[in-house]
Amino acid sequence: MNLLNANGNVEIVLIKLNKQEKTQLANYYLTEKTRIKIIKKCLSGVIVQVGVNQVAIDKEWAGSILVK
Amino acid sequence: MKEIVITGPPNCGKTTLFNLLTGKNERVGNWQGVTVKAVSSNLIGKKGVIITDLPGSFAEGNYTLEQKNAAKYLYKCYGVIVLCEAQNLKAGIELFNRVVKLNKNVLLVINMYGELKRGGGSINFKKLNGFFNCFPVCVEVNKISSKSAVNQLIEGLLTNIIEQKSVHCEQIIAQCFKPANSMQYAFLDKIFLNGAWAFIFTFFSFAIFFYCAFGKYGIAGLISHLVEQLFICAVNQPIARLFTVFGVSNFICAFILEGLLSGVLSVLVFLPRLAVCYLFIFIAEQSGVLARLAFLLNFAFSRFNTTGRTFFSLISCYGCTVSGILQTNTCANKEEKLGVCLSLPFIPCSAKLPVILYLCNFANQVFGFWSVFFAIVGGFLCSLVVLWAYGKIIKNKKSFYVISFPPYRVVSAKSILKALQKFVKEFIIRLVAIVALVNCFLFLLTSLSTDFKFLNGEQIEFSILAVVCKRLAIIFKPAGLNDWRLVLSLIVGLFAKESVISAFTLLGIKTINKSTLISFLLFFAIYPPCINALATYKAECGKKFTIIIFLLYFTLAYLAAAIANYLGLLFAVALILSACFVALAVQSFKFSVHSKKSKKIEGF
Repeated sequence: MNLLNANGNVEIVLIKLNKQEKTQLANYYLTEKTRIKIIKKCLSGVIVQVGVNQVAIDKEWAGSILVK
Repeated sequence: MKEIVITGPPNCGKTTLFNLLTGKNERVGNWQGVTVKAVSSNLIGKKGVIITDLPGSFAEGNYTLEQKNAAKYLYKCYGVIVLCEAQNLKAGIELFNRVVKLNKNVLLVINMYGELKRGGGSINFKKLNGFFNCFPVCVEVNKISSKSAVNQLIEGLLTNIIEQKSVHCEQIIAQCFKPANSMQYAFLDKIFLNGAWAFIFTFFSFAIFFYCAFGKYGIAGLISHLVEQLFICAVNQPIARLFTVFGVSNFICAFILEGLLSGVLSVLVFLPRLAVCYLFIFIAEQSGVLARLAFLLNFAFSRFNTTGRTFFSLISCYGCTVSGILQTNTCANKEEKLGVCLSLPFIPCSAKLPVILYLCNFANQVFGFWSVFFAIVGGFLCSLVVLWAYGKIIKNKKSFYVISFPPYRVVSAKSILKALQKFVKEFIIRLVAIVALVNCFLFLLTSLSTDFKFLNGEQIEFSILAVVCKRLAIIFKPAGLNDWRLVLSLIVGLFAKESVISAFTLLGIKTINKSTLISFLLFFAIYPPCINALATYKAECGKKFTIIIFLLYFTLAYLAAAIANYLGLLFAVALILSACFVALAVQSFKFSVHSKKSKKIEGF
């Protein structure tokens, strides 16, 4: 499933998180079940909308948690 | 003694509240991780109450180094103020529940409700109050300024910190909270989340501020000239007249006028230039742009075995190396922290820049302007090379970078003035406390001969310091620094970098030949940071690491100066720049290969 090819505004489900990643993302209200919206992709990673907040996630990490 | 701790999610205004309650002027900024260490102070008007400001945290124990330290304060305090942004009420309530479980007196304080309302959101306070033993307090910390309002706030907070029970977070959010529909100034994302535009905009803003600060016709240059004239008319001349009237001895006259006042003045004239530079960083911080730039630069930093977090340390270091070192507490692990700390001395701090400008003005003014520019850019590139080399030697575990972007905010004139006031105050305290003190010692020791007799200004060559430094100058001869006065200036610079300017004035160095000047400049730009920064290194990274830093940068400075001395400036600069470019080229190549692979696999 090539989620990151799509042009923004794609709802995705976070998967494959280890324990530390889960805890860190929980701080930003992101869990395995959260459906988040990508608002921007750039060389550094992805920026997602979580509620009213914009959370930027490192490219390498985004690669490991966003792709099935 | 009661200790009340202020905690809350990052970037919700804890330090602003702390400053309000204690009358302090701690650093505030519009991004996560401005406060990296707990700070305590007495509450205004109440004896026996201490307020402690903690770094931002979502829970009582967490992953970054500074959050783990902060957790200790929560366990031992009397009461806790949980501060949260109205937009992030959920985070505040969850943290409130965690603190309640620690059996602490606690109060929920909601900040920036106006911002939520402007974005179309709201909180139903009538319903919200029903969930708590004691009603949450709603404040606009930024807008409280009068003394009576501060006293009212203090009374309100002290009476309401009581034992509370846990509340049902999901239920509160569902019943009382309506989130904002849109973020204010969201259109700015089109510029600051677009890599190319963000860098173009930042570069031009930087260029304008830089010219204002260091340019020939820049506003800071004019203010510097005014400060100089004002100081001479209002301080130097009246004191000189008083000395003549009262017939004060020549030695004391020379000590005060030449040793103390001229040294202070020679550094003070650079204050306006530094203030303009500081203003640029402050506006970028407060407006919320800096956090976005840090993330956009993450791809570059990841090539050098670190993350966008490092950007904050490097930027802080342009102000003062000490704050840069403290900022490394936001690093994810100790290896990353040590790597960033190792790279920081290459960044020219606000004490080094005036000296570089002063030295280059010996050659000519245009050369001075460009030298400062290259010192800023070159220092940044050299730091990246150190990070890269460190990553090659020590294979630390790759840390990931997640950051919540702060909202865009208009920077108010009041906050600019407050920050400038803090900057000027700190600069003047440092100037009086260290530079003036060092100058006094320097003056005394250059006025005493080896048999402790007073010498006049022309006999300085026979003073105690001259005799000692002439022997030391033999060691520095291969580096092109065979004048004992230059060696002495470098030693003085270890106490406070600005002292080099006053030492030049005091030792009567008015001309230097070009090759010596270049060797001195290179040595000065690279050699170890001041004693204050070294003490911070010792506290943060340990004694061994501090010794390594000192020896490493001393050797690098010596080698650079020696290369410039024997082979010429062009070769030395070419060598340093080519090392930077080779490192950057290798990383860019690796990055492009990596990106192509990523595209094939993930569609990036």
